[in-house]
Amino acid sequence: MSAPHATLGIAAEFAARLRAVDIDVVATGDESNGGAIWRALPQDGHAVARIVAEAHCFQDEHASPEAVPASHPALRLVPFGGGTRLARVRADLAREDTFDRVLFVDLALLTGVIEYEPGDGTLTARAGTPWEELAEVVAAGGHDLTPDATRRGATLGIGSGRSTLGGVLGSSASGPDRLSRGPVRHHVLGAEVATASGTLARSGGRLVKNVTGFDVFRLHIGARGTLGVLTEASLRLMPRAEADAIVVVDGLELEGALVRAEALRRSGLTLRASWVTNVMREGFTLAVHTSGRARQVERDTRALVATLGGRRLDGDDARSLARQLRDTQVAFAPDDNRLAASGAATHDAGPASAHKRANLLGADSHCLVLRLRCVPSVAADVATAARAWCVERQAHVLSSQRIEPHFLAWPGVAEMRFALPIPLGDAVTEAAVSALTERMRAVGATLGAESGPPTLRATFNGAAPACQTLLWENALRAGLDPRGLFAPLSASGAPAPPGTPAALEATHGSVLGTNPRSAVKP
Amino acid sequence: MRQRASPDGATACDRSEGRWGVSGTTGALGRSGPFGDDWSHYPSPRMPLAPELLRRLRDLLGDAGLITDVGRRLSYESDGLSLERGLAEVVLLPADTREAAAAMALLYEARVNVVPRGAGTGLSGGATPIDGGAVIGTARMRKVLHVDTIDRWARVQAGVVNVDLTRACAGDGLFYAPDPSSQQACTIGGNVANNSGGPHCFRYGSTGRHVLGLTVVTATGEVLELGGPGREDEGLDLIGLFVGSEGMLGLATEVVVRLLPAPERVETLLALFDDLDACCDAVSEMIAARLEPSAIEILDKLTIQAVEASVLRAGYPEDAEAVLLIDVDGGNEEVAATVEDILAICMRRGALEVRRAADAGERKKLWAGRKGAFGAMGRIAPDLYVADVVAPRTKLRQIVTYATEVARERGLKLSNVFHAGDGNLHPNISYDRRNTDEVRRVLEAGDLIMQRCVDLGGALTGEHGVGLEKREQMCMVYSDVDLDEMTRARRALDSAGILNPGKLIPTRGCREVRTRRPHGHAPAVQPLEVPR
Repeated sequence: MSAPHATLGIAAEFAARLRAVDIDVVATGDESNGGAIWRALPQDGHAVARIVAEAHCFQDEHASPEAVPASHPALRLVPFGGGTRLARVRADLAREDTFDRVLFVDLALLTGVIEYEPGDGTLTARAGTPWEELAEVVAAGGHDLTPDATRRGATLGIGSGRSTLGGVLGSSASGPDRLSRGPVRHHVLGAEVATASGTLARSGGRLVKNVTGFDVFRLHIGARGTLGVLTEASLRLMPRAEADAIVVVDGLELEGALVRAEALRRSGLTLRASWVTNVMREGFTLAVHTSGRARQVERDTRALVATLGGRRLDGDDARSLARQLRDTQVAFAPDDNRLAASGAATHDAGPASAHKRANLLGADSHCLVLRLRCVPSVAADVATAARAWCVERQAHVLSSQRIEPHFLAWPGVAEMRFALPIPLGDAVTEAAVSALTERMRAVGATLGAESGPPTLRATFNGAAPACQTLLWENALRAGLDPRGLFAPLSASGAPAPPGTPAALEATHGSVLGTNPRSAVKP
Repeated sequence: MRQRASPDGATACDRSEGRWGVSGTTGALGRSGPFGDDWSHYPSPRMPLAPELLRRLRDLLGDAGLITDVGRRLSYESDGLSLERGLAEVVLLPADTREAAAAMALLYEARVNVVPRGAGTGLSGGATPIDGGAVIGTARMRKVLHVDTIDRWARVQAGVVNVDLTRACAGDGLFYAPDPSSQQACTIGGNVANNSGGPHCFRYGSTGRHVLGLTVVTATGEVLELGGPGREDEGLDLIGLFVGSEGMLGLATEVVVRLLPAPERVETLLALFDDLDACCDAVSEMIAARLEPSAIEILDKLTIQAVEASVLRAGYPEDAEAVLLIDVDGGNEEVAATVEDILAICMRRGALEVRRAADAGERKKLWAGRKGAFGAMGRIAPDLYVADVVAPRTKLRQIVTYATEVARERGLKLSNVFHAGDGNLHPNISYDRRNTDEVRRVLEAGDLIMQRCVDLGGALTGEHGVGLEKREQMCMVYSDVDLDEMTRARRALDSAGILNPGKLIPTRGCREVRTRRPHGHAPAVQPLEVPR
């Protein structure tokens, strides 16, 4: 860790400025860790926009080379909700000791439901509202909130650890119900955003059907706060199902489980969600969730039991298991380095467990989390190939043990994650990385590293050729955030030049296209 | 575009500053004149395109792909919004992505504006040409390129007609869900530009929920692949931004769409009511009860009579004040349970009768009647003002009552046919455009209905888009700050502003048009001149 700065950090100076306009700013952390972490606590959307506007002026004032070294940005803003997804940012900042130039924007005060229309199936709330709270509000009105995102996660010492509306939308964290309901972006009807220009702009609306104007808010869904700050959003809600049932089959092999799941998908049976995972018990578990009208659920569940075997749970038992299955995602969350590396099969998802709190400025264990996406028909092949690579790696490093990597798949939508521990000091060779990437490309899957040491992540994500979409992504970033206030950090601490894999890696890390069509000749 | 800091610390863009860009379209809505965008390098209209440019376009596209003859160009002068017209200098019909991109590059080099066009069935003027510009049509890009029956997706060229897509995969037990009423003619590319809906979007969602990937030709003539099967998550949600962007961000030449498996069972119900209000309330109750039929439509008496008098003759009861047309699909048991609940609600709300379609043939007739309703209205009067407004489902009855009153006060013939399940209303007004006073009253009524929808928490348009028709009314829903952000995004992707300029974003700052027009005041439009 580097020594604390002798002079007042940029963030500290900016904090003083914000306090002068009645925006609360708090410092966390201590000098021995390289400086305090500064976070602003805006009271409402206008305050967030004010922070951005002040940042513009601040950057103008610090434009001269004497004030700030040319290689570093003057100031950067990082919004967050519950703070459960800051690990990537933390790792990058820690490497380059740039905390003194970053102001975190904590949306903890932007809470509250603005409008819940049970008769219209829509919900509008402020971005800092805990997801759990929203789920309770709509459940009382006979609705389900979607996506079925995890409610909590480990933090880095700042943030409540509870997922928020803005966080779920900003990270586009789909849940297993993606199979029946679709991804996150299908559920957002409109949003208000504190833009990088310092304004508070709305687009979309609160209606389930609406084509009025450009849906600029959609750019922020999944942007992880690298274009602006979501301050308010409207969601469409799903009706609560009359009945639920889950059929569970344990002790399977990976390929067998995925093949069965694929057969179900092809049969056209309407499922709510499905999982294949080895974090629940020994071996791989296939779980299939049906919901809807009671008679239909009964009929479908009988058919599932007849096809798959296994055991069945109904009603509250089914819903409770569905919650546990949903929370298996936590084992793959970027922050949970220690937990994933310890190989624990089950865990409690609350932030109370001390061992899950990673030190803000360092982690001495690494957990590599790979995310794979493909079309469902090749999921079994993709997973088998990826798992073979993981197991080979483990065998190479820990010759006396073979640790099965943790695995979680939502087979119907072919979204899969592997988590494997990488001991500190171990280098995964570039050759090993490109071997896996090539193999994935050959079967038509996209691969990304969601968690792990920054350089390793960059190697994984940089191994893929840059997407065609970079042309537009760069243009939009330049047009909407020309000063780079929210721009993604590269591993070197400077804002990543737009268009580089490092920039994409910092933004959404996990899925870079290996798109064979991207070389279309004009 | 000038950025300046305003007193409260926010920067503001003055959208209305700038020199004259391109002449407007002519038409009853009075929007001829400057669009007020700062694209000052724009060539003056009325000047023909440089012969060299035309020659290069002809070399690229061949005679089949280039239309310069004025008679043929006139057939492209408007889309479904016939009150607005424009004459393009040239109409291009590329055969594939490569030709489209090369043509766009040439037009960009010359800074000629480009209006993309599918079938021209749009109702808001999104495909109305700009005088002196170019139209790029997708009419020669009609191939279904690939259907993947295992992973349930299809890649099609943008000019594929909507209903043809479903036909192409029906044999494999699949279908494409978004089904606009114009689906016999409208194209997938047009559906993407407008984020089109249709009756079955109640359950399945509009086009935006069915696009997995796009091949887009940008304003500068580059080709981008967005998303794709299994990779629709990548990067920023550019597909989400593009769908519904009304041809102002790029030209989609190929679309990858999601296909759904055909449901096990479909039931079609026709509920008869002697009171339109009760009909609306029945729908509100179904939504509140969390029922999920796949489509809920309302047709009122005037519409029913028009349909029955036409070739469509769907079997609607001519003495009912209103009917509910409902589709329920899914698994056997699910459908049975939902139908039971719907029947109960209808009877509770005073339905005279609920009929069930006996077979696929009858179902087809009932839906053909609904989808042909706008056309059938031609029997009532020569012209039809097809309004498209959207409001929360809890406010259906209020909007319908208000629309009826507004029309009655102005002596106008109002008919209602709408996607009640989505709160997307089409209070349509029959008129004769040769009667200039009637035109004035029609537009006034339309504006008032739109304003009331917005006041009740609705928006300007549920599926037809903003285009030219509702451009100024954007200020009812958005502020300058909101529109500025949209303008920034648009300019980031089309810095020269050649794609469909002058649509969607209002020409004047909203601060100038904020005041509502009180009841009875003349609207700020000019009546249509009778063409010689």
